[in-house]
Amino acid sequence: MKVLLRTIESPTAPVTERVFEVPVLRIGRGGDQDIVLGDLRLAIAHAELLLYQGLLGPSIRLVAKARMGVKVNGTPQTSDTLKVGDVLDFGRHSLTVGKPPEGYDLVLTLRQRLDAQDERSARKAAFKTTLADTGWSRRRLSWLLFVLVALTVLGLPLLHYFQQPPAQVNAERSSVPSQALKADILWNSGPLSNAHQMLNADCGVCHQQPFVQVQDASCKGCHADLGDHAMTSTVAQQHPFAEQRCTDCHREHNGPHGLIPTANQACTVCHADPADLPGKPGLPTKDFSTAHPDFMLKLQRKAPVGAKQPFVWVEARQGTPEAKFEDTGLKFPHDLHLDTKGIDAPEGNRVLECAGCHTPTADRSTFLPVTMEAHCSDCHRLDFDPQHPDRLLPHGEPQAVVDSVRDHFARIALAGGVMTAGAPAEVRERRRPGETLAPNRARAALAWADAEAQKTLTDVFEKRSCYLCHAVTPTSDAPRRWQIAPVAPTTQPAFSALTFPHGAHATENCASCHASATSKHSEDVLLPDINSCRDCHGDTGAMTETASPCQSCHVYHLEASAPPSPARPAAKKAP
Amino acid sequence: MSQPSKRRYAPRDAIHTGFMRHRGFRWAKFALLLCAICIAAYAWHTPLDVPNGGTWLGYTLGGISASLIVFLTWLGVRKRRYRSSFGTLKGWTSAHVYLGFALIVISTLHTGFQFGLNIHTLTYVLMWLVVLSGIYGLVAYAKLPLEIARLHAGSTRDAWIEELLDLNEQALKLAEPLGEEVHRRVVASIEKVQIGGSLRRQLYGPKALRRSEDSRPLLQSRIESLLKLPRPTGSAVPANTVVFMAGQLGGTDKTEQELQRLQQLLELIGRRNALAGRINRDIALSARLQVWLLFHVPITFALIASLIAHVVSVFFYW
Repeated sequence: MKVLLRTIESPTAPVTERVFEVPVLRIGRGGDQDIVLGDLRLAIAHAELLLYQGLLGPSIRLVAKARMGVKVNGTPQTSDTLKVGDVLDFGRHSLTVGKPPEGYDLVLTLRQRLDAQDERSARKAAFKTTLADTGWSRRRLSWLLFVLVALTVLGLPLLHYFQQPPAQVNAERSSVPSQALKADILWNSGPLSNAHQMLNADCGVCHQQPFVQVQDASCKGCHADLGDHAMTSTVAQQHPFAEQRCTDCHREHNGPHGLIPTANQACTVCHADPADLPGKPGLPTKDFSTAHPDFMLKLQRKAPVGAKQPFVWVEARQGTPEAKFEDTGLKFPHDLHLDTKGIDAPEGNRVLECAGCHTPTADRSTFLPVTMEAHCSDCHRLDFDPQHPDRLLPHGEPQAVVDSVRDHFARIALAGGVMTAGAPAEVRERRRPGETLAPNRARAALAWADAEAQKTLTDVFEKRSCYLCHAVTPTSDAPRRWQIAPVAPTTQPAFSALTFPHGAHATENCASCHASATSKHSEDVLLPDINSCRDCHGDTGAMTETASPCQSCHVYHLEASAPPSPARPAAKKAP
Repeated sequence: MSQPSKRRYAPRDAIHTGFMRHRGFRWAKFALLLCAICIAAYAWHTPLDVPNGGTWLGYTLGGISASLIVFLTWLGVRKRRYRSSFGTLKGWTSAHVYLGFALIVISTLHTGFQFGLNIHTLTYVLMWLVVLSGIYGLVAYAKLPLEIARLHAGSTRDAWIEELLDLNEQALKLAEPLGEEVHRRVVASIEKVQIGGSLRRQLYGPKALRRSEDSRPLLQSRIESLLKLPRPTGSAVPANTVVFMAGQLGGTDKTEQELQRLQQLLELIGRRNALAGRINRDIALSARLQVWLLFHVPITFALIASLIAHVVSVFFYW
């Protein structure tokens, strides 16, 4: 094997060349080696290079003689086939395999990479003794995280926003967003209320303009029919209504039930001292438990004579004498009807209960109107002729009553066969089929019928059926002999500002609030006062009572959101 | 001559007073007061909805928290401004620590205890991570410098490393005439010595060295027993340099000079190993003193990015 060794001691020194013709080129620290390298870390015989005749032609093989091996291109090897360009490490020295010139098997370039002193500094410098040496740079990490976080939680949602700008339309039934969630869901500050969950996918439905607070128009896209709190448009343009926004009270992103304010201050912030409020703000109300005014009742009063309507609505505050009675036009002693021993009924003794007459509405908030036909007529039968107990008076039309009674007696008089004591022969006789009365006898029969009718009418109007419940006045008018006092319509709820939710109080019995068992007159107002409520209800935040926000009873959006009152059909006008 | 007033001898802040006690706990008192005011305001405030970051108090607490974060981060700027006379660095550090604690309280109030999978809670969590890593740093600064000073005992790590390199060179020289096997062992042992290294190595040290450190008393006894043996142990070559040397010592029939060399070498390598252990211990202590900053600072920047996104998003979708 013919080897050319080029030695480069230093970059400036001239290159020296040596030629070896040896079977094996031995490299090591020992003096007997071909290439002697004075580095104490090398073995005396460190490695050998030899020419190897393989199947694919000659190649140079490296065989490490020291057990620590030789680093070929940085990797320790115990034996290896060398290629042109390979670098072998021998301590401070390196051998580079070059392309052999003509006539040589191998050319090697020997370099001293470092002298002993440099090597020591290099070793020292290679020690990574501080965190700065490890490559973990605080600055680099900081910027990396900053950019990463900024891109993810700021850049991504903004990108989405500008790629698909919101349509700037209010949410409506037809434009409810149904697409998948977008990156700006990351910005969601909290769960939407249950009713608004379908808006999660499109923030822009409510947040229509960047850096502008949600405007009322966004809400009114859906909630178009909500009434104002201000009663009139003039009031609505004044302080504090002029500057109010929906979101002042309706704070979204506070969870599934968070949208309706439950704190009383939503109301008391204005109503604690309503002196400066426009419109008719009512009395100062700073809380429910101590400072709420007595209830204002809507009551019926007989209208003055000559008025268009027989009754007028008046408002009276509980605690005043005016609030203790109401004109109903009826006679109805609750105590008598609710006698716990029972009362006489056609079928015998019967114990009445409130629910016997007061039927709840379907939503159980209040009650259906009490009517004669449905609730009274079982007992208060309108029969008038003991011989014909099935004949009943029509209810509600006094003239029809008169006509009906007269017709009845005329018919039986003419038909004959009446067994009433004192009836004339014409009336008592049974008629044969086809038989007619002679005119003079017919007149006599009708005279009896008129007299009987008059007697019966006087009886039902002035002593029995009508008289039991109605105020009846005889008139001098020949065709209209009796006038029935008009009955008050109950078309408005009794409390002027709210509808009492009876259904929510179903566990209570009626008597715990309504003193009906002792009421002798239909004029008695049987509505409980606020102190009855305070037995159970307290202010928001109360610990020993049911915490009751204003919204338990009151509504803010007056016009449209006030539930329709359970209208009783107005009592038919008396003739 | 009038007596110098006592005041002159009571410096504004004694030089040895730590930043925790700076100026009679001035910043601790301030932070406590700030927290007390915020907690009182939170207790007093009854918003229309529920306590949350969007009420006027929520915005106020959020504003205070954001300002605190900027102020706390500014310590990183202030400590690099050596010519700044805007407060002492010790004062800044003191404020940094106590206001950092206050930040936890105030930002928690700012959340109104509403948390979710969103950027707002991310910001809050990042803030906690920064503060917790800061608390680690506080503990590290209180404990580790003492431990390091005790370890150094007047010397320096640089001197130790020089000594270690000297010992390595001496070992090589000693090993040279002792035969190839000894030489190879020594070279391998020099290559094996690990000083510092990657983050993990710096913090926890090279495992092999720690093990050899621990087994030194055992090895010592083995050397003694081997010395008494007339013959070397079997052909199995011990894995560890020191044990191998001991074997050579016990069974050698070389001259007295060689025995002496071997003894010297053994002692030298023992010294070197001990030294390497000490250096690595020093590196580990220093790393533990610093490593939290590798977390604290980058997470702070993540926090600032998240905070910016938090504030922008809140007003973007106002």
